[in-house]
Amino acid sequence: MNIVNDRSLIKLAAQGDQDAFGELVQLHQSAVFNIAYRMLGNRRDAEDATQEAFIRAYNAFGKFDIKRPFRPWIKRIVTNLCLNQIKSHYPTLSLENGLPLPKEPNPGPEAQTAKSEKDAEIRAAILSLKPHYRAVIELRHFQELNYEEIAKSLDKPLSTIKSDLFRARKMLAEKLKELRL
Amino acid sequence: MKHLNEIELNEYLDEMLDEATKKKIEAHLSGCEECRAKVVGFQALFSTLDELPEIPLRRDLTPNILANLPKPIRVPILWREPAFLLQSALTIILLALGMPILSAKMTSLLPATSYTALIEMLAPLYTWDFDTLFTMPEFAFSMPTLPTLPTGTDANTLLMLLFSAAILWGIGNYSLLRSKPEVRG
Repeated sequence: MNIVNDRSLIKLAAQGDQDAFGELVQLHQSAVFNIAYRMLGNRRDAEDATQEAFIRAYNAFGKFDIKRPFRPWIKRIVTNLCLNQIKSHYPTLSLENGLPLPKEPNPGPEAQTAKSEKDAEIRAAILSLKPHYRAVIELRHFQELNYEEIAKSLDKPLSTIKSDLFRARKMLAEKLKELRL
Repeated sequence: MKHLNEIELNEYLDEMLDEATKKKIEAHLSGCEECRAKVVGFQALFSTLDELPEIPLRRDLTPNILANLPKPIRVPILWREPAFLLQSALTIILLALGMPILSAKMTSLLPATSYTALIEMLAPLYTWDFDTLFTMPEFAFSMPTLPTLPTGTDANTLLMLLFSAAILWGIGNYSLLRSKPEVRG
């Protein structure tokens, strides 16, 4: 990703240039979609969340410091969006009840390979975690935030984050051990 | 033997410890099979998560996103707006015309007013002598005759100018309101 180019696009987009914003979307949509997919577990919801996150970002450009990189900001927007969605709409899946596979309406050819099945089971294991555990795993392992950043992002005390992270990792490790992954 | 607690394990695995604490924990791990097994288990989990591939998007979401954005905004540059320039010019003209008039009017209303004279004129206010106040000739209502401009412009011409300025001012405001940008929702 070209940071200089990114910055000039952000500047133009913040002034209302929708073509520049379109280029930003093309640069970052895959990363944003993957966060949503890991957190929501199905392609359709992940696409909707990705679109919603970009629209929110566009509308919130007034609050964004254009000197800062765009990607962490849009990642944070989509993470919070997914977290709110999980809390309000999704049933919490219990680890004891076995692992559901992510809902894929039209699985592609890659889903038929053994590697893809293993990946799908790992994703399912993440999805089976309670929303706040899923969020800390996403932020720490996939977005590589430190503890303070996670606490700030989720608006929780640092001690809670440390505790949640440990428990989430423990549960995930146990589940993957059961699956021999 | 006291085992590592969850915070120590977390911070060790996330490499968030200072060098001295890290060495202390590594010394414990070399002698504690139980804690070492935990660390190895977590490290395997970390590798599994690191290796999880990205899911490719099956379609470009850009057209949908752009279609759902609010309409583009036009940010006017104020000093390039004709209405703004016109109104600025009018303000300058009105000030240039009005200042001599105002100055002459003030002189006629307060002829040779010194501070003492002004105090004497306002004395009834302090004593609540309203009879005196309202019978004072200085406070009788009468339309003062407009003085002529030092440049020779008479009062009628001045009134015409002011009237024209008011009309142009109104047109300018209408034009500014019409060019008001849409607010992004």
